[in-house]
Amino acid sequence: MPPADLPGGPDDRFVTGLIPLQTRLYRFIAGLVPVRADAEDVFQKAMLTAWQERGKYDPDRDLYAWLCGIARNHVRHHVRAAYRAKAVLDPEVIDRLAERLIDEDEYFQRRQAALTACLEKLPAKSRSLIEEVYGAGKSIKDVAAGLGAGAEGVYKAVQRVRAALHECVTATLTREG
Amino acid sequence: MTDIRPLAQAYCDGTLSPADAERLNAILRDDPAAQRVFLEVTAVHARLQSEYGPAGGVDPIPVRAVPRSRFRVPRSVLALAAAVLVAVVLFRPGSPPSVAVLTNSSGAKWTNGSAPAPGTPLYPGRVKLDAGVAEIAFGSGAVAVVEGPAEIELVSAGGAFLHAGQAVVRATAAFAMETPTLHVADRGGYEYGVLVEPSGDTVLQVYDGEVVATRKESGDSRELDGGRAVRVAGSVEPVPFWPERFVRVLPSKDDPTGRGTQPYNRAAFESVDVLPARTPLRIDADLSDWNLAGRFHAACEPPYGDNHSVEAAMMYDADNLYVSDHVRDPFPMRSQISPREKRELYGGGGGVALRISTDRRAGWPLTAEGLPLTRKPRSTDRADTNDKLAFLMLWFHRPSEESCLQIRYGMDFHGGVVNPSGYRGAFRADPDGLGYTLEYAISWELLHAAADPPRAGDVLAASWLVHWADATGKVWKGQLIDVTNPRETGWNFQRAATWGRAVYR
Repeated sequence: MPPADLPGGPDDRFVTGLIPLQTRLYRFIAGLVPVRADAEDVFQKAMLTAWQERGKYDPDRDLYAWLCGIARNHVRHHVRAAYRAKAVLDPEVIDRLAERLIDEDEYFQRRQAALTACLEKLPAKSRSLIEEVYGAGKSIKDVAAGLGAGAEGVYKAVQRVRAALHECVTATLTREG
Repeated sequence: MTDIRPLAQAYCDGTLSPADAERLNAILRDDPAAQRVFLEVTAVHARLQSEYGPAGGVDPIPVRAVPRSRFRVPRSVLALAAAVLVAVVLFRPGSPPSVAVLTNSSGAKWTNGSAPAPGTPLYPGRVKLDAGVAEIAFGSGAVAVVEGPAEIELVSAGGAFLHAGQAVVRATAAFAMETPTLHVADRGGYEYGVLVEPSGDTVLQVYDGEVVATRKESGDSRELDGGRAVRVAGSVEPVPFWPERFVRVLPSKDDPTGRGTQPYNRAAFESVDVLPARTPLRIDADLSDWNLAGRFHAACEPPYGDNHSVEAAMMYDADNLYVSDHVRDPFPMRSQISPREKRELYGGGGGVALRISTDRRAGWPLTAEGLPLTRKPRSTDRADTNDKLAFLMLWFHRPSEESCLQIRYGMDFHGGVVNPSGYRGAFRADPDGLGYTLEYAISWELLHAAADPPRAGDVLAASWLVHWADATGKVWKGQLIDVTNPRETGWNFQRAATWGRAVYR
């Protein structure tokens, strides 16, 4: 198998392939590591590793799957460290979840596509809440204080919006078969 | 059944109680359906994060890891990121005088991803070559042929520092070469090769002329003339002179056989004879009890052919398939890939791979295919699951000194096992330390053929691969593939039709 040396050099091709996958990869990580600062940390480390190891990437393999493998390792490291500090989910369980996410990638990508349409249909009030909570990188407590509400209530409200989006996606896929 | 959606929601918000975390662990551990629902919920959270993030998206490739910071890099710089150092060295325009010129290269992969053309001036500083071979002409007239992976520092028009990897230097005038442990000096009219191992050991081999090597640590020096080689570690030990230890000359551009991108061959054989073993073979990597009449010899293309080659054969009896290979390899039996590590591929540190069919009904050529490679597989795509098709990887794990075997089955690579019971393997290093012999007995049971093993007269499918790695035993350098079906194209791991014939005699 001779390596196909296309114009632009292997790194250019690597970068060109990588750029459109970054958001997808971030979601892969954030679906397992929910705290934004942690997810970004893991994402940055995964990107750095991918860049450093790019020589080992076989261009005939799926780049996204290769990146997921790297991200999965970083998630594993992160979760193990976090698990020692504070009991959350068992690192082993999270690794199995990562495996499922990779194995059923097509299913989850279909859900993401459906989610795009569902987000567009989001009522204005829900949207502004989401923007408030996810947009500023503020804690729920800060957001609650700003809204003059209890943190408990804001958690519930955010969870209701997410639950509605989840149902919307499921309904869309059921319709499409 | 518990509705885990509220628990997943709490996980997203970090409000899970320890008791809830325990419950979630128990539910998620072995329940694929629950795992899916959980991930559906966290995927919504992940999407909202990426969609409504403070900076409206996600960072591109970072210049460096900046944990927990909001350090962001504009996309425009990412192609340059991480490579700034090397780029400066290679392509600084103008003012300071260059000390050397890149005169030729073959399959060169530079660490900064650039592709300098012959004639590119080089300035003082470090140059990293990930793979391939590059020829550098210094101002003093010396020529260095550097083989990747290597890191060489251009010091002046008359000197260089080899930090890692290997280079061959040829010159008519004085040139000073330095390694972490050694000064190499001379009065011109010589050719030598120098290799800096990951451990820091230096191997110096003189082809022609007289070279003075001085150990930095002790200051003692010795003269070495043509046809001699030494390894410099704690002490200076003579090692065998092996002309092919280094790549000395690049294939010329017009050389039709000089693909030269990496160690790689052009397959020459369509079939291999599998000879009967009248008595069981001793598995000791000593092939004196073999009938080697069916053996074939294959070598990589220039400039690698002389030191990357294989002599391979197979035999069989009622219980086993026997495999033997004599591989010439500058860095033999160094693989660091542990059989206890869970991974898909184990050949990255070097070794031999086989594709073997024991399907007597399917015969040859095979039609089985795996998932498509050129497009994203659809849910309707199915890889052939015939488990009489086996993918074997044979390698020597240096740290544990085990002769390892990985087998995967079908074109879907299912049922992967590593070091299963039912095989015996042995490796033996060549006396000169520059190659190895392997011998394996693999039971028909492991190849799912115990009930109906191949018999004399059968023509089944098989294909042979050899992998080479660098001095660390971790970085794959290239491969040889032989015993193929020349009428088919495609990848041997995706289309079994490309496999050659195994003719059982």
